[in-house]
Amino acid sequence: MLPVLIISAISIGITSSFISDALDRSGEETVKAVSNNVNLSLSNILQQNSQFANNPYMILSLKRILANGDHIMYSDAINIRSINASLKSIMSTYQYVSSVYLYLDGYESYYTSSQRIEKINDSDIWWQEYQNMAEDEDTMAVVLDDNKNKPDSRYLTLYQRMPLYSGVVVMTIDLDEYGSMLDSLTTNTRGTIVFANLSHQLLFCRGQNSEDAANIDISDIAEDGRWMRINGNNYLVHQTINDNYNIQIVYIIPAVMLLNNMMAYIPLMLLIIAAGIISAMASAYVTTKRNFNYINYIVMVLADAENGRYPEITESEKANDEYDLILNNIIRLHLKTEKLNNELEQKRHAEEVASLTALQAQINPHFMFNTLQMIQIEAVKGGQQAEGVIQMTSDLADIMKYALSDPLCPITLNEEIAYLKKYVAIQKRRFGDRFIIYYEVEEQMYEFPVFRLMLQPIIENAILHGVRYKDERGYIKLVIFRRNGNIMFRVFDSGVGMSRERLKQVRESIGSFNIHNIGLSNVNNRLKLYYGEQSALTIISAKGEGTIVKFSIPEDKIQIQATKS
Amino acid sequence: MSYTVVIVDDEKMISEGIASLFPWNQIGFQAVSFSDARLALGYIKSNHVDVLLSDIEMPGMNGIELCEEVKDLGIIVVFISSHQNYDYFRSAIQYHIEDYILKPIKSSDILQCFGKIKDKLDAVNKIDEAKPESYYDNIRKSVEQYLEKEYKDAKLEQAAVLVNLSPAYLSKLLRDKFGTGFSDWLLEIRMKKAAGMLTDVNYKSYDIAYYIGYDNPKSFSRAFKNYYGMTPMEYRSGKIKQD
Repeated sequence: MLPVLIISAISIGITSSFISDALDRSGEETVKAVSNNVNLSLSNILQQNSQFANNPYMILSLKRILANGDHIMYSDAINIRSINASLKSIMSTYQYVSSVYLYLDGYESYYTSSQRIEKINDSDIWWQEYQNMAEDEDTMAVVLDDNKNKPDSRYLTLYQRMPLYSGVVVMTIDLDEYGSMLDSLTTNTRGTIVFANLSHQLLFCRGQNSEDAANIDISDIAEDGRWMRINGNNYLVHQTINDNYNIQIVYIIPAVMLLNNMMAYIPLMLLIIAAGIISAMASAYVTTKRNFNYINYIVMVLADAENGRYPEITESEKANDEYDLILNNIIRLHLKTEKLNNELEQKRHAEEVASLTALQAQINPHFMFNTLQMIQIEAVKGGQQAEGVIQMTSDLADIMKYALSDPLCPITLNEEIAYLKKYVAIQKRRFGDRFIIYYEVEEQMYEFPVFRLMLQPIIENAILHGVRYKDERGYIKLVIFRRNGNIMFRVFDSGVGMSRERLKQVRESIGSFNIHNIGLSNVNNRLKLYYGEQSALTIISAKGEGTIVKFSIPEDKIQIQATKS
Repeated sequence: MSYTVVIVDDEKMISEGIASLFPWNQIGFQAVSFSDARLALGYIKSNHVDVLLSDIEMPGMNGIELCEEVKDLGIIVVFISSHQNYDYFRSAIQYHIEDYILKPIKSSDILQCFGKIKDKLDAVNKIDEAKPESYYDNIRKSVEQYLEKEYKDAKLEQAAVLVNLSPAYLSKLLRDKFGTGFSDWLLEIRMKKAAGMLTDVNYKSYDIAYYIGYDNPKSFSRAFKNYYGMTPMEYRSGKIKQD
């Protein structure tokens, strides 16, 4: 019960700070909205100016019209028509724009939105203000009492100098009309908008607290969203500066608003407190009951996990409560361990690739191939008997090209066997007909993707450790065939074979993960790395009889490997 | 009529070796070699050259720069490269080179590549050389001798080197002039040799495939059966019974 009360108290505090924040935000937003509104609604003056900037002919036409009065040329008439059209559209779209004047310096007349050329009268207030406008300013905003059109109305008058020619576009805005438009922006907070120019002169105020606002010290408003005391009343003040027209816009919200807003929330809050007390009691009962169930469940899952059974909950499943969270954490821990193991494997692989690459980089291939080329040329010089040397150098070059290629670039079994035959061709030059090698490869196996140097170390082993020490002719046979979704690889040799102890030693040495242990262990490790444990080498041997080295690759693993590469 | 080929390799021994040891004259070319691309460029600019055979990696001016210099002269360019390097091939494609040969260069590579180039040049120059019948007879004799002796490891490329023709041209010539392709001819000789060995008990039947150049005994049996209508074993036991 106590917690519920505490929470209620806190929530009241939070709500009041929330309301004050909301007020602050809406004040800020209002200021921005007004500034945007200024941009939007007053953009016509810019539009008028850009029309002149883009079209010097218009200026020329305007010049001639202002100079000659009614005697205008045809082309000028066209230009004037387009000026009229745009002025007219401004006037009809924006009710609060009361007039637009175009004036070029040095002329005695100006052009008005009521499509007339008017003589400048020294008593015209806009004209007097324009004469006072500082040379280095492009825009100016003043409020004028112009009784010429409408008695007792005040006008916000904006001046903007023309960009190409010395002249000015003047727009007068009826503040009564404009103010009622601004009212729509302030209905929520019932504050007051104040317009001032950059020299901190107040242009006009609009809103319920206009009298207080008129006394605001504009120069004092430096930061946004602070409380100020004006005429004994507290106000939340926001401001922004509209760069386009050099107008400072201030928005003040009376402190009473905060209290008003707060009052609206009080009944709701009481209701929430009551509901809170009831639901707290109900949930206490339900939670306790549920807790016991979950604890039992977790004990069960943990017991299962110890026995290696993992519950099938995906990681993306959202945790509904603390128990799901605990379970998810346990599962995640398990998955993470799996992942770490995986990463370790990948790292080992990367290291292997790196060391292979390093091995390759030690010998400059350019140098090697050039040397082979020279050997070949020397041999050709030697005459017809050199055919063997030429063949050997070219086989050796092919082997080097093959071995030096990117170890990760996938190849087909066909390429691997072609390379293997070149290797055997060189070995045959050493051993002559002391061994015969046959390849029994099922035709459709040739296109299977394999890794580089997968078979050569096994054949090398069969030659150097098997048939080489045999007194009579030795046979080596490579058999590759498909059986039950596996590609089976077998290398038979009729060599000297291995004793039981030796076989045990070899089996152990190829099982260790050691990149310096080349040959069979390298093949063995890569088979396991690429295709999994079940693809490891199997060696069967009998002393004096021969040796069989075999492995198999599941077909689906081959496909995966191919797409990975 | 012979065409001029300029050979450039910074290893003097290689450029001169290629120029002097390959039978350029017999395949209709005259070879000039340089070990400096700039000297080669000087020669190319002041003499008529049909083909440029250039190494890529060379100090001073490399093969690609040389290629850039001569690209407007209408010279056919062939690159020699130590190994397959994709950057080179990209440049090669960019300069529309005719072909590339990997080091170490084999005679068959030269014959293949320059056989095609000669056809191309002949076509441009509208040359159609008629050869006397004896020329073809000599080729036939050479190939036959080669097959009789080297049937175990015989290859079209090797035969082509012997008669200084490109493999493609030799194959076409054998078919057109004598009505039998190289591989059919080779098969015929191999099968006759195999039959001979099968009647000789000194040969183990398992080894015969190897002796006549098959590295898969099953393919040998299949080929033999296709040729004689019986398996090698049937043939052997039949012959032995006759004796």
